[in-house]
Amino acid sequence: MSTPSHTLPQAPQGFLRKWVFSTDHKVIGLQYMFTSLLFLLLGGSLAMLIRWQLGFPGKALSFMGTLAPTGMPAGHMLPDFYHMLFTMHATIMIFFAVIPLLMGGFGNYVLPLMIGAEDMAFPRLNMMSYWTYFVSGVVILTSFFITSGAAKSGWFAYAPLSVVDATGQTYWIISLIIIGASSIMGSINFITTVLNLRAPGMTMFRMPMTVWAIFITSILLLLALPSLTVAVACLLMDRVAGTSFFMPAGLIINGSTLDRSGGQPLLWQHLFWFFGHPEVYIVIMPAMGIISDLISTFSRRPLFGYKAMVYSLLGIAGLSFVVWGHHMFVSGMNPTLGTTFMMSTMVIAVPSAIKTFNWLGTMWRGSIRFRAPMWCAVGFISMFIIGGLTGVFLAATPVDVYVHNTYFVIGHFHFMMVGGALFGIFGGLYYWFPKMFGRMMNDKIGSLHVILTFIFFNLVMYPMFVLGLAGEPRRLFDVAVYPTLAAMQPIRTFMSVNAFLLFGTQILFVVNFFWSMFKGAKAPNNPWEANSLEWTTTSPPPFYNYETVPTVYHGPYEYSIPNHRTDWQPQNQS
Amino acid sequence: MNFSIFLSGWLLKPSVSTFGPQIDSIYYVILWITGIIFVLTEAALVLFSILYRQKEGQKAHYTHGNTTVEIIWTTIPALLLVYMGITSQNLWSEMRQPALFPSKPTVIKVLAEQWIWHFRYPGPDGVFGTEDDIIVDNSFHVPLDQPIRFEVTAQDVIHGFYLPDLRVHQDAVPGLTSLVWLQANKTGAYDLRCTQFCGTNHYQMKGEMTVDTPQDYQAWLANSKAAAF
Repeated sequence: MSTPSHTLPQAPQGFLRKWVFSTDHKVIGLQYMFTSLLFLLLGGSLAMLIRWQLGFPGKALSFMGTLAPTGMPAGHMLPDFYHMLFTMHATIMIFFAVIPLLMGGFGNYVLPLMIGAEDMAFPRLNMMSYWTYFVSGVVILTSFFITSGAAKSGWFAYAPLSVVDATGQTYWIISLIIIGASSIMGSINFITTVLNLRAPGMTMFRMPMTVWAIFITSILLLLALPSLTVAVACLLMDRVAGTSFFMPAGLIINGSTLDRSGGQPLLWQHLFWFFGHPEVYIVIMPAMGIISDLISTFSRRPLFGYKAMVYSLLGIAGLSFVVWGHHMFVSGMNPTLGTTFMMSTMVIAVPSAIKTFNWLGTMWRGSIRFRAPMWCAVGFISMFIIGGLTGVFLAATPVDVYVHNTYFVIGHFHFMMVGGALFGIFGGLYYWFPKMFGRMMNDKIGSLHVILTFIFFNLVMYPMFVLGLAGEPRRLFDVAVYPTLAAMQPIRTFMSVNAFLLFGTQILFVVNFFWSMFKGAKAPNNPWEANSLEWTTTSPPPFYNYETVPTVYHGPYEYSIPNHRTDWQPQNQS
Repeated sequence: MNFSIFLSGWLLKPSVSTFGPQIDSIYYVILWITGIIFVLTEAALVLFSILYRQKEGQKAHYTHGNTTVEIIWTTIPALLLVYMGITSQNLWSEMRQPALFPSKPTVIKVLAEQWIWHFRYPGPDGVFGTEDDIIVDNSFHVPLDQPIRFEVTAQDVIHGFYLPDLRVHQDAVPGLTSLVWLQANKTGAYDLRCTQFCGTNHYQMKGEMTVDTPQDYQAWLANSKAAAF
């Protein structure tokens, strides 16, 4: 490579400027990644406590008696502690673990590299976005330590319960307002970076699917989040200023009549789900993008139907704004709207189906290299199919009447959130780890981790469909009052045992991750023989990413070109 | 533990309301369609994983896709989904549009509060809000083979009025009265489960609906009336 004619920018030397208040997208990406991985661990631990109660109701967990003496005196869980667990499990997983990992972590680290940029468009805004996220994390963590405990009205915080609930809810609101601001900063940054900082030759239709997915997801976040912020701001006013956005007249709570009137509880639901449904696609779309790249790379085949993949992402994004009502089929919303939302929900399944078929089409006649990232991709497709197909039952209004708010729903969305988003996350971590740390993760342990996670996850989540179809409502602390449900206890215990095994399996990942970071085999620039730009620079990349601005000659999926010397063709080689 | 339930669990417990079998038949249509798609796609995934794994001297096939198959696998799911939507639509209207409800139903007002279900019957005069109204808590009765209309609301937070055996489900929202109906066709006692998280004792908010023969129902009404005085 020729000596560059200009002076390359150098990283700041001080520890604080280099690692803490950095404006380097790679450092910020790692900050996001490590913070959100900690939140992932916390969210997972809360899930284990939930599974403890469901699998072994009434059994004491002595160490929790010390950790949470008010919620679990002598290790015996109280109902409200359980309610706090499921509320915070969801809140932390969605807002503090999965979105920050996918967008803040992967988005920041790989997106500028993938489009051949030196950094994000607004490096300082990027730093501010991380630290804003950090502050909201502190607020939500603080709420665990206040007297009344963290929020416990469910992650969708239906009013009026969320209005009259204890102080933890206020912390929840404030932290969501703060993290909303953080996400908006990040989104603006991603959109601007993709639109303005692409390397010469990197046309929109030469961008890898990961970049497309993060770009489109940013637009979704930017449009959906204001609705959440408005909703929680109104909720805050209802709680502290005596307003009645969501409070109708004549409420009698705990025997006392409240002096409120004119509000509508359903208004909260509309505002929340107007954000909340794009939200679930915000969680899954970046994972879809990552998985698309993994499948093409490891199958050594061009992505099947690249443009169809891009258009289906755009289709999902557009439609995701007109399906929110399917969360409200039995809410008392006008039944005519139910029909409308059912049809739009049926339609949004089409682009997801297109994506699945194209992933299968990419594997067809490939030469598939089964490494840990590819195991993630295969697991992702397999569970995305289950998550998608069970969604059809929920979309059909008459059937939803039967399974709404039962474990069927819990099964469905965990196949999307864990089987989908989390497998995308693991896939991305295994795939980009060599680029981030300059060392390889152990692939045998990695593959084992993914396969065991797949097995145990299915054994935890699949039975939820069975419980749901038996009419078991979600969010029950104990099913003892319903003998027919109590009779199904062996299933719950079975699920819980598998949940603990699932959690334990993650030790494989943690050990592999940290051991490899310091002791793993040195990674070459392009260990996976992949085409996208990030693999053309060193592992890890220098502060300035690329010594000379790369020029892009073709799309990212030129694998196995006939009569070509190698079975890959990096984007910067003509 | 008996693992056969992981398959047999997809068969629904028989319903005891008039529109229950219709809901179930839509469920089974969807189960068949999604079941077949599930088997085909998962089989393809496994098959491709085995057939096209990396092998010595085998090179991947180079193609960027095929417009014809894209059109096929866009159109078929779209048609199936729209079909399932249209199939569901008529039944949904029949169940939910008050204008299409059966005429002359027995009307019961349901009021949910933390963590009790209250049921109000108009009493002998057939008019609500008079002295002879009958109010019962948690456990209530309805007559067999007659349309019942519920007017569901709540006085504090949102609750979920869910009668799984009758395929009836409606949130009880304060400040809003929602209408649902059912016609039970089998006598017996059926669970009423609260499905919308409503605070500390949500898990104990259980009710029970008993479907009586008309004679038993009248006897129960008379009894309840006597108990109220």
